[in-house]
Amino acid sequence: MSAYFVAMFILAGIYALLALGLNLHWGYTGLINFGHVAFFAIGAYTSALTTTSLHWPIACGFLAAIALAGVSAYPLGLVSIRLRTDYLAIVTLGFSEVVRAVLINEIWLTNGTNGISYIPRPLKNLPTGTSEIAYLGLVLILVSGTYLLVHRLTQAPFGRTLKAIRENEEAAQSLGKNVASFKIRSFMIGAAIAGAAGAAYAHYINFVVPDQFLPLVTFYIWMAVIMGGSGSNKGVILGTVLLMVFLEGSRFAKDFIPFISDVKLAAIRFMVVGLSMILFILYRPQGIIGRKDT
Amino acid sequence: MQILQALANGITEGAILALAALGITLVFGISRFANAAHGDYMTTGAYGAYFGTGFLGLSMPMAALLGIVTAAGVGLLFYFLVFKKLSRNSSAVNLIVSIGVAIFIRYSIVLFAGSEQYSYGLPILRAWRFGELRIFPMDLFFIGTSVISIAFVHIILRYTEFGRKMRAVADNSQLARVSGIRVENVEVIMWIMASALAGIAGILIGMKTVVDPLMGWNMLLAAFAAAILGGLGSPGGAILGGLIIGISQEMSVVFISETYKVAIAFIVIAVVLLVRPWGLLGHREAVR
Repeated sequence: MSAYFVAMFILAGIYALLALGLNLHWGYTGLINFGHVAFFAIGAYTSALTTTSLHWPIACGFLAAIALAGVSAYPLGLVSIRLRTDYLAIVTLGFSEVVRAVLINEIWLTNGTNGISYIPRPLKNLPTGTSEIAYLGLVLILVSGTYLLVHRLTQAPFGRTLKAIRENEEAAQSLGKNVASFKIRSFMIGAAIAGAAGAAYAHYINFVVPDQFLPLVTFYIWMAVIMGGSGSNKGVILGTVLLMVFLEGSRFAKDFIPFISDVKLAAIRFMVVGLSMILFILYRPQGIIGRKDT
Repeated sequence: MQILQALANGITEGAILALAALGITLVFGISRFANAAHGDYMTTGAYGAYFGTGFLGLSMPMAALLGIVTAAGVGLLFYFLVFKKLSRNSSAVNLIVSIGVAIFIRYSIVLFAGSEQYSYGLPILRAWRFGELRIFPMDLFFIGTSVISIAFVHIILRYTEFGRKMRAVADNSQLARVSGIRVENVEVIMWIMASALAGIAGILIGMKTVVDPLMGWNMLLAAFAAAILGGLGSPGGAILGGLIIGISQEMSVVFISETYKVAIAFIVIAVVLLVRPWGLLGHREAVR
């Protein structure tokens, strides 16, 4: 049972990283990114490929994942300057589907739908059980480091400018802020964090396949951000934890509700995700502990 | 010959896409946001019709009518329960909530109908052969249905009292309101029309391929691409956009690969938005 909780917390930590990145995009800058899972996928595949095919050390693969995910956001950042927010949403959603199509098609690189397996995990040599706990420790360090970094960034003039852009782009522009450059940087930093999450995921699960990177993952993260409170880093971490407790906890619902198939249970789980997105936006748009000034 | 065949397939695909894009564009023109649940309204229509043929034993035309009414009802329901309450919020908030609506509808369908595929069990008609070119009689039916539906919407928009009000609201809703137009009524009828169009598109896809819970969502990106290419808010543009996207997707199957079909829609969206964000037939002012 405790092994189960360790696994759950590792995944929660990985989701929390994704949520912190998305919060930088949406919560602070007001950019609608419906393709967050693309950066997660790019991070996961980069680290997986460099550490298996190229035999790089895990740390190098991890850094490569962050770098490539961040860089891949640059063109989208450029696009985001010129687009209304809702157009950007469609473009990013399309981007994530194209990334998935590439993962499926470019078999020479990604091994197609079979994916990549035998991705090494750090601290693997420790005894069973301890090795997972040690990995959880690494993930927690990563999450806290990222939290501090994002917290620092968003308290700094950089973060205040992002918020100004979110509230009134023209006003920020007329005060002499280079809106384009801030938006691009916000996009790239958030994507790099998602890349780190991808690497952490790949080295934990030990294999990656394109089906792990469906658009639904993006919307899980959106739900965590909306539920916790967009624009609050503490809030989105809380949102992620609640999301994980709900997703995992609902697996046990099977013990209490007789005669329910796995398909039906999964369907109800997704319905709750959709419904809570609707209800939060309608009745508590600031989330559980989000900013009041929405 | 392969190219000619792809062209023929693309026109059928494009005709259905145009229907989907027309619905998206109507919502955008009046309620001013891109509705990500539109694909799932399509799925709803397809399942409504399947409920008619599979459970109630209705004939296909009656079942299709049931499907269209179901889609329109679901669209109207979510307008009253969700989008109406958020009409003062930004388009971004409405778009995000529409994702929640989309997920909720899709998995309600899975809960009640399961995730397996269904078919309407229509008789399969032999293709007509013109040399190597094969044209299915049903394809002509799909194109015909699409043309008639679009023409119907066009007549309403262009030649009726309601259409004039609707265009006034699309142009400037505040001005329309002070001129005595009941904007709420216009929105209600627009949502019925847009969701019914989604229902028709969904049923056509179900007839062409199969009915499954992801059918509408899988088409959403291409439908958005068609709507944006034509110019969001422009009904004529939606048709043109649908045809261009449909044909280029089928061409990409010949020249590139089936799985990269989705990439065509994405590239078209990205290029259009960067070069000509108001689309082929849209108005420049519509974009910020």
